[in-house]
Amino acid sequence: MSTYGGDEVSAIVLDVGSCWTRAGYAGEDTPKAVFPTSYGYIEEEKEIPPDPDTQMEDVIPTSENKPVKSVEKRYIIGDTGVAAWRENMEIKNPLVDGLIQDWDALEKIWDYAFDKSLRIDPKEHPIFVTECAWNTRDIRERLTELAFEKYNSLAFYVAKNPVLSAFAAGRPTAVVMDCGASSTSCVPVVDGYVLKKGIYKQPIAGDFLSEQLLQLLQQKFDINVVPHYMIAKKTSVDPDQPANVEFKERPNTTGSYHKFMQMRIMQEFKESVCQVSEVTYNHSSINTRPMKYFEFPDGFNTSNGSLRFSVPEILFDPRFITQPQDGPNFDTSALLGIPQMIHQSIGVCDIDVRPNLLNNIILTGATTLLPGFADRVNHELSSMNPGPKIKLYAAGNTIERKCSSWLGGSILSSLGTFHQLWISRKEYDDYGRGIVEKKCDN
Amino acid sequence: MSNKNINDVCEILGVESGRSNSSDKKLSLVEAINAKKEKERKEKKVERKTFKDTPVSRELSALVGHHVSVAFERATALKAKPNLHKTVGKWISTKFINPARNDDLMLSHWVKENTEEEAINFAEYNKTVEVLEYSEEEYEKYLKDRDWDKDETDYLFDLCRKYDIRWTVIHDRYEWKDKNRTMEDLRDRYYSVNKKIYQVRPVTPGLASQTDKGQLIALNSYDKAKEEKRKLMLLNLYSRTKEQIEEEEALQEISDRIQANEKKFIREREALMKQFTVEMVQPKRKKSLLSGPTTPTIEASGSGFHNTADIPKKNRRTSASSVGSAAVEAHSPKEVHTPIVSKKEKLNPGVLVRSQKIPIPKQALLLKVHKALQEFGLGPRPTMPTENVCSKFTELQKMTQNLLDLKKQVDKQEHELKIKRATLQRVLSSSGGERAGVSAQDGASTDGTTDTSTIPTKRDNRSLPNTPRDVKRARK
Repeated sequence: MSTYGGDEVSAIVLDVGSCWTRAGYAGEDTPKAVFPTSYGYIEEEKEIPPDPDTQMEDVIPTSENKPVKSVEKRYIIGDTGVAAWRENMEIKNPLVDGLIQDWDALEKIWDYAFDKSLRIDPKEHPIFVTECAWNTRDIRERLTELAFEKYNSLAFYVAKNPVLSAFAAGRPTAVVMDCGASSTSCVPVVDGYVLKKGIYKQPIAGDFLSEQLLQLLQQKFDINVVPHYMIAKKTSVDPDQPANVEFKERPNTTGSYHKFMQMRIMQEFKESVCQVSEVTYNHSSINTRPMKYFEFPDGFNTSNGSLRFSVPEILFDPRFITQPQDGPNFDTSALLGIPQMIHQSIGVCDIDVRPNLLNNIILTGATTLLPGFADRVNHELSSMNPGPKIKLYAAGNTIERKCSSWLGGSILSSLGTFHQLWISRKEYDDYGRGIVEKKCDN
Repeated sequence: MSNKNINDVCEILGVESGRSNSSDKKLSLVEAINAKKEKERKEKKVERKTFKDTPVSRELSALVGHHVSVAFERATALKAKPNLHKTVGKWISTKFINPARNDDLMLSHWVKENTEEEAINFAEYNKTVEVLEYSEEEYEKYLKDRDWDKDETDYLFDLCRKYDIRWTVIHDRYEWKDKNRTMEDLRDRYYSVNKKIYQVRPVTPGLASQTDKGQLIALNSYDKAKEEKRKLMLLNLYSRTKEQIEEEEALQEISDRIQANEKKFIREREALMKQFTVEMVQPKRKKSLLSGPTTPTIEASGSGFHNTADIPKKNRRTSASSVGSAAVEAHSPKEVHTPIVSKKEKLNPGVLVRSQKIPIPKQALLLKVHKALQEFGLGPRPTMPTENVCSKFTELQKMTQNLLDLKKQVDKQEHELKIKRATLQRVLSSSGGERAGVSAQDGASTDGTTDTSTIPTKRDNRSLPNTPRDVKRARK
């Protein structure tokens, strides 16, 4: 190992993404644990018994001294936990636009990763955490605080996703186009530093496509997307014939859980059916492409034609967005297609680094796994920048593409030269939580 | 079938024709074939046996033939037996302190038991770029700037220190009040401060000499305008449209073609010029001789040498430069001391006798020239080779040579003429008729006037034998 500059100190790499959380040991090529970031919770009323110390004897219980009822959340984390149907279970995501909003839930996620998935004691390991490129100072400081105050970790570091993705691809300078679940971002990285002025992001990504798909299927094609948890029994039917299905009794199912399960079907639909047009979208040529069958959980199956191209096309041309029938319309004027984002992101940078950036465009995030995605980006970019040489890098390995930032973290934190970058307990004690801005600047 | 035939058949079948006895020849052939089959079967058996021994499958060996490659035969042991008695080396989790850290963070890593401490010291890769530091006093004295105050300059230098002078990153992170600085502004300020400080500071002991200081100053000079111009040009190059690039490529192609053509043209012209100058210096015999006879230099005697006006315009240049030149030069008193050695001639190193410099006439004419010189009572080399004599001798030699050349040409032409006349006569006589003969003679004479190349007349012919004497006179 040391021949490659590695000196592994058994660090734990934790990558809390908007859809999946990845956790594992540094120096390994895949995370040990991958589970959904979305968590389930059930609000339970609990009686808090009055404190015996303050209770005086022989006192007639008054309204003040009555046992207090409080609402307590029971958290359910992990793939099996979230996906299983539970009465009154709500599903929620602790991240909004890549930023941590729900700190209680984040703690639970860390707990789950350390105790249930990896079964380690965080006191014995340095902890390496990833963050989005536009993370705020407050969030970083709170993360540091959490690592040292609650988990008492040996050392701590937080690094930005695009930098780590670039490292995972073996490049210190690159433009990282990350199209994940909640947001699509394009971030230039120079010598391992994020160029903040070049960050472009928008909330049009995998989840948005799923929602559009669901909306289209339900409204335009009149298909009722029934998730697995509702189905008791089904029989196979011919294509385009109504489903023959028996439902289960599922009382008190929350809307968020139903939506969550529907989105999972849409995820499957995207993976098996959707595709990106390799060249600029042309309706007539798309109609000549072969149809693809998809069977919904209730047994209903149908072939899909232009739908499987037109929905992912939203990523390249936001005008393809179908406006919701109820609720406010999307403002598509401010949205950019992915090639435009890359182009503008590079355009903000200094002219001297532009050729280098154009030569190292990294595609990462699970949504980029749509067939034809890389071809399309390459096609559009070359017509936009006819002069300079353009080179795309998209990992062929699916896991690598899905977990590129975790992988970068794994590489970085197992390097021998990384030892000096860890924030130690002593440094945290000396400087306070502001140390993170000073030490983890990338 | 004769015995010999049987032997042939045996040879073709590849069996040994052991018996030469003709009585049982048929039998012997059958036996021989059977014997051969038997032998082959045995051989096959042996082969099969050998293949079983090798780890190669029969199918493969059938493909490879009996020449099993060396690589296959080596693979005997397929799987080494695990050594169960040997214990595995232990790995121990050990705590260590990285010397690059300035705190006592103890990290632990796994180290193999009984091995020396790790070879790689990662702390040595901990390199930072040194950024100049200036004192308050220095700033007040030298570094004041209208646009920059001290705090901002400090901020800039801090950023430089933090990001190891990576200007793209510094420019990206630069946020100072409401100032909107370009990267060129930042770099200009940084380098101008550096330059100023290096200029005013005495040579520090760290720096070896004054030259180092000069170098430092030179390294830190930054031309903002030039840099801005460079970036602008790069930007223009970057933002070309597809049409522009296509046009540029097309133009480039055309320009390449033009350049290639031009080169070709120059090359051809040079070749032509070379040929031409060679002709000027030593004209082709044929050309000079053809034009020669018309010049008065030979036609007229003595006084007519420099009378170039008489030369027909068409031939003036060639005649003046070739045949006539030597004579003209020789005649004018100014050019008496013309060097014997022409520019082209190579000078041999070492001492040499002047008479050696006298050019030797052409091999073909060598004997004739010597003979002609003998006629004048001269040897192959002058007896008293003073410079004057030598030059005169060279001239004489040259002229003699020319003369001989001309004479040869004249003889040739005359001969041709004679033949032509004879054929003409024959043609005339065959057609019969005096009148035709006259017209033919007219035609011949008109020929002579129009074409300068076929001049030789009877008068020329008569005068030619006298020319050596003319030359001699000229020499006197």
